[in-house]
Amino acid sequence: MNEKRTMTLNLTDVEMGVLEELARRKDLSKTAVIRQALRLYQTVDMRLGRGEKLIFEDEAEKKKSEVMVL
Amino acid sequence: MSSSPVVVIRRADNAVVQAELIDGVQPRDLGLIERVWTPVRAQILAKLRAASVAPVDWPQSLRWDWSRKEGELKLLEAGGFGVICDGDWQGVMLTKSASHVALLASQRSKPLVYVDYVETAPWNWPIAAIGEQGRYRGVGSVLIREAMNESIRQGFKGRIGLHALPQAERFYDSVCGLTEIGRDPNKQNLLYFECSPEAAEKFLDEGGES
Amino acid sequence: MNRKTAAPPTERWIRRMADAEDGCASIAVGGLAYDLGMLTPGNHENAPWVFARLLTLARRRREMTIDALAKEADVDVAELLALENGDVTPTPRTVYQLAQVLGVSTSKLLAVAGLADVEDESLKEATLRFAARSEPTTKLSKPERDALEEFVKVLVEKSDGG
Repeated sequence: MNEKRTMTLNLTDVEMGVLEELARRKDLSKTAVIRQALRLYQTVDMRLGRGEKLIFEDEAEKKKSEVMVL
Repeated sequence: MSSSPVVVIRRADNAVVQAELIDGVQPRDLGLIERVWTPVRAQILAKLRAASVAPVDWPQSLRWDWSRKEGELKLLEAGGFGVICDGDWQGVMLTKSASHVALLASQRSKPLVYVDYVETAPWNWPIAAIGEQGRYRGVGSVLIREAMNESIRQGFKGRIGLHALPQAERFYDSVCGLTEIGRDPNKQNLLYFECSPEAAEKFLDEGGES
Repeated sequence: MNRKTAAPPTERWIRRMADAEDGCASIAVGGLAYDLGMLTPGNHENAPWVFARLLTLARRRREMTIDALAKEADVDVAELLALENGDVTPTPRTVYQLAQVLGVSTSKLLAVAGLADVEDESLKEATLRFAARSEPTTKLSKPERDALEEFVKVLVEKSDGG
């Protein structure tokens, strides 16, 4: 169940740049960044599916804004 | 699901006993666990009442029910770990790897393994008020250790984070050497702890309370 | 650090940790039972539990026995005992009586007791904050006193319901 399968990822220069920057900032390999992104996407999708909302809150400005709606 | 050998201490004879560390607890395992733990929780509750122990002093995880967490375990970011010894689950831990980032200044915004829930079997709880000493010792430590190992496996270098129940604050602070970040108003004002890669390394090598 | 995962814990490690664990009341991590559905089925009233804690602490703060509080509030000793054990939900009359003795708003105490909807966000938060702070001592510790004072402050503020 834990065997790995290989996928070739075609990214634009810009996307690859973002991936490398995230990997640097998060101290992760590029693969680890993609895996985190996948986990986060699944979790967000699941919770939105349950009817929850994803909100960004700016405490300083006392503002809340919805990030994603189903 | 994989299993690896680990040791815990049996209180009765202070012996080191062999146990299994499980990585990959399944949703149906949680149901099985509660089928065994729930009656023991009820017995403890009855003893606490008989001894007139105020609810303030009850074990704070007394009313938990792991079977309610089955859905969460199905997520990619979820990790389920447990310790089996003597044919029974002695402790269970649920972790998340993508929903939290480090708040600790030196690790800010880096990913960590967040320990969502950890609990040892009710027969392992030492409760002086009702004369219970607990059957196996060290189970919780083995699980927290595994959270750090999981963090290393994911490339997070050992960083973990958790909200401690009030009765457990001392364990994470003094014993595990985690750093107190602060009380979290978004989580029942529980105290939130994290550790750096260095603190994790120290815990894995030396254990706690030097 | 690019270390590999640690080798299994040594006997020395586990003995050391087991000894350290013994000095602590618990190792449990996670929310209090009513957080995100961790309650066992049929145990969904977190209110009696919080109400019970409030009652116990408030009474001990006044250094009253259950008998004395029952007398002063003109409620049944047996009921008061059951309330402090989190066994039963109080009757509205009992809440009213206790509110008078404790000097807090009846409507808010009713909400904490689970007899009225908690519409007030700040009361909800205050209730959770209070419930989360506890220490296993028989005498009220300073943190317990602080937690109690803070909660009572909110309860005393009489809203329209009085």
